[in-house]
Amino acid sequence: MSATARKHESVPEEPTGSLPVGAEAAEGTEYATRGARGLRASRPHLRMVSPLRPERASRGVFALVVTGLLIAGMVGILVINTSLAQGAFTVSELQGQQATLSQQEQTLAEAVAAAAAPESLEEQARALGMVPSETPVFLSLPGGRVIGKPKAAPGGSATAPRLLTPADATVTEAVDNASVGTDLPIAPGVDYDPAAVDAAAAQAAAANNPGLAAAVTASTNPGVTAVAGAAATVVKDAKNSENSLWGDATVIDLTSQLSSEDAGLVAVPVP
Amino acid sequence: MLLIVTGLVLTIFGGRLVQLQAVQGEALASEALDQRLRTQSIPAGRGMILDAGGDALAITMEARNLTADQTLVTDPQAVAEQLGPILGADPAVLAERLTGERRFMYVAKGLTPEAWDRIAELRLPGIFSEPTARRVYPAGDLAANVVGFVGGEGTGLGGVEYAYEQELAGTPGEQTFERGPGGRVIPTGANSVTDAMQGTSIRLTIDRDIQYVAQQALAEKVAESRADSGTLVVMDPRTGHILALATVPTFNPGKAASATASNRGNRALTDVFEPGSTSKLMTLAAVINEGKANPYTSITVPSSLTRGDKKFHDASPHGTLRLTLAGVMAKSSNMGTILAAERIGGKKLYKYLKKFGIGEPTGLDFPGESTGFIPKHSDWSPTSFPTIAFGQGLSVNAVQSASVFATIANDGVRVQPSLVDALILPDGTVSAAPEPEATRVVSVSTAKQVRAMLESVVSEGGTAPMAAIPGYRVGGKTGTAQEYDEKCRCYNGVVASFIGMAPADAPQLVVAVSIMNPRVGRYGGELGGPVFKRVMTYALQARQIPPTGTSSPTLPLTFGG
Repeated sequence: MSATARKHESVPEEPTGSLPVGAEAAEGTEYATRGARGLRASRPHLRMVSPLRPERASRGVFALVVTGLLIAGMVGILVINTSLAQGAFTVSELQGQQATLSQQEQTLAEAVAAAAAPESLEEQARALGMVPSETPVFLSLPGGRVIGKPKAAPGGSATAPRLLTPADATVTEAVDNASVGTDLPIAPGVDYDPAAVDAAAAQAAAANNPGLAAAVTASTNPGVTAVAGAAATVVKDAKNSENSLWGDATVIDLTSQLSSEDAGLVAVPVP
Repeated sequence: MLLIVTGLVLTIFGGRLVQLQAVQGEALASEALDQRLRTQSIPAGRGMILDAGGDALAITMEARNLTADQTLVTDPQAVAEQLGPILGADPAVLAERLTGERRFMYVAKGLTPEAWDRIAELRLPGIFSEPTARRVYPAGDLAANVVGFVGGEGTGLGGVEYAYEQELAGTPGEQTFERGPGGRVIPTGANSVTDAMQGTSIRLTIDRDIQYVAQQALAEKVAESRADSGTLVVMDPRTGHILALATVPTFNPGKAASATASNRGNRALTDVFEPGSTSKLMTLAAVINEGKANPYTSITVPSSLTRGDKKFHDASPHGTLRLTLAGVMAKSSNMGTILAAERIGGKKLYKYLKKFGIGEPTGLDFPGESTGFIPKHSDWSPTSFPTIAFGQGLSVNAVQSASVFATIANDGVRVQPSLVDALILPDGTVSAAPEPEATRVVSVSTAKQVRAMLESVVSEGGTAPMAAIPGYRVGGKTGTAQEYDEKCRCYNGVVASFIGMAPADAPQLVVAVSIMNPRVGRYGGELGGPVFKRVMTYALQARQIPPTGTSSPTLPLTFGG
């Protein structure tokens, strides 16, 4: 860019600028040699021969320009090549990374799929002390009517109970609410955060009723088991409907409805 | 002298130049291009097989095939020792594959990418890998007989994998590019890519949770009764959707090669048996639909009955019984059914049996499906009519017999069973399976009356009180029939079955259990009943079907005191 600019500048300037400097001698000889031809036109435009000298002077500049161009071009090519190579490196690096990540993703997806398979879910549910219910029982809302004949599920206490984690909190919550029976702290609105509620409920359950964690599985306390199951169904429904009926005190109604004969409503189907 | 030599050399050079450039030029250039050009196939990801809830039953994972250039392996024994523990293979066998002069040899197929990474780190000379795909069945043998399996080349060889091979497979793409001696792609060279078309995913009607419980319950009962095999079908009668289709014994689709062919098939569709007493439902429904009887109609059943040249009995000997039609169903009386069927005659009975789908394809288009068999009415012998009336001399597969009960459950309309819910195209669009065919077989009123009679079977006076579910109205029918072997065209073993529905007054589920050739126990009620109860109980919870809260009608089973 700069080289071409310089070239343009030199064209108009050189003839006018350099002519007066060393023109006299040259003019003399030119006039002498060209004689007759020059007579006809004695106007100043005879200047046209004078570029001979300035041209010689500009050659250095020209060489410089060409060399500059050459160097610039080579540098340009070098830069382009380097950046291309660098791009290629980046591409292959990223491709490698992508391959690794997609492998990782696949491995994890496979592990999740295997862990989510019914067989392993049942295993985990049993490890938590859950047992399949043999009598499907439903809680109708609103109203808290129990549909079906609740009956204790056999084999519920086979596994040692363990401290419940927030992940188990649907059940914990239910146990907590049902046994305490007085306060229903959860009034889910739009900003209902199940995880936070679950965690809080789990803490409350652990603090207030350390024995209750066991109640989920213990057939010695069938009433609690029953409520646990039924309330868990409520929780599920509540979470399904946006404006849930959870704030409704139906769960408490339920506890009063459930006699000890209704024991063992473990209506928490293994998903 | 020097000049001559120079001239000669130059002439030779010039000649060669002309030869290379002018004479062979084009050929050589294209040969060079051929050497640079590489066409690589881009594998199409095989579609997934999903359950009704979208959980994967079959997925495809990246994998590697381990290959060897035997000429580059200097010490096969040492290499085999290193590979052995990673591949879980015997080093001696591996060493054999690494020894020789072959430039290309498969050492192991379907490695996980991690396994290949570990091998690559060893930097063993002559050991290479090629990318491939590995079909994974994350739920193991769950619904294996429906899902099917793939062969070594990754093409479906059984079940849905086979039936939907074309949809699942997709179209492989192709990349053509020029590459240098080091294998690098020449950036400025010719390069064309045809993208691979991913395979279509198949969403089944199977609910994997119900399927799991069905498989468990059935497997336990088959083992307990030391039976040959068993099948279990769970259907939604309103849609014809098969929610679970279990067969025992089953197989692990990840290791299909080591399973026997009969375990890899789907017995619920490939094996036919005589429906036996469960078939009485069709006969009695036909009689009611023709207006020739109702559940209260009284039928006097003698201790034996001679038709043609054959003397017919009931399963347990008895004197003259005074049964209602409901009683005939509840006690599963063969003779009572024959007497009722005689009110409509063989021609009409045949017509109804065909309408119920006997001897017709189920419409599932499952590989190896058998349609069962019923002789044409014109071919019936004098004993054909009475035997067919109570369920012998015809054969059905398990899905067909479930479909018969589903028809009664769906108020008399038979909806063609289906296993595939939708196809999910690679771009995510869901194309639902076409609406199944629905045909009316009997009237709504007939269906209701038959259901009421089915409830009496599960009552205390019936043959299957063990199938009752507390709180629910359950209707069903036991069956204990001789197994008809199509190969020898003879009876061979026993099939104990129980098919039922719940809630009986507004059925949403039908469960059909068949146990082939039990050695401990024999009757459909005692073998099939408990399995039915367990699976139905779970399915009712899983699909959140509450009891209807109504009470069962009490139909008189006997009359006149």
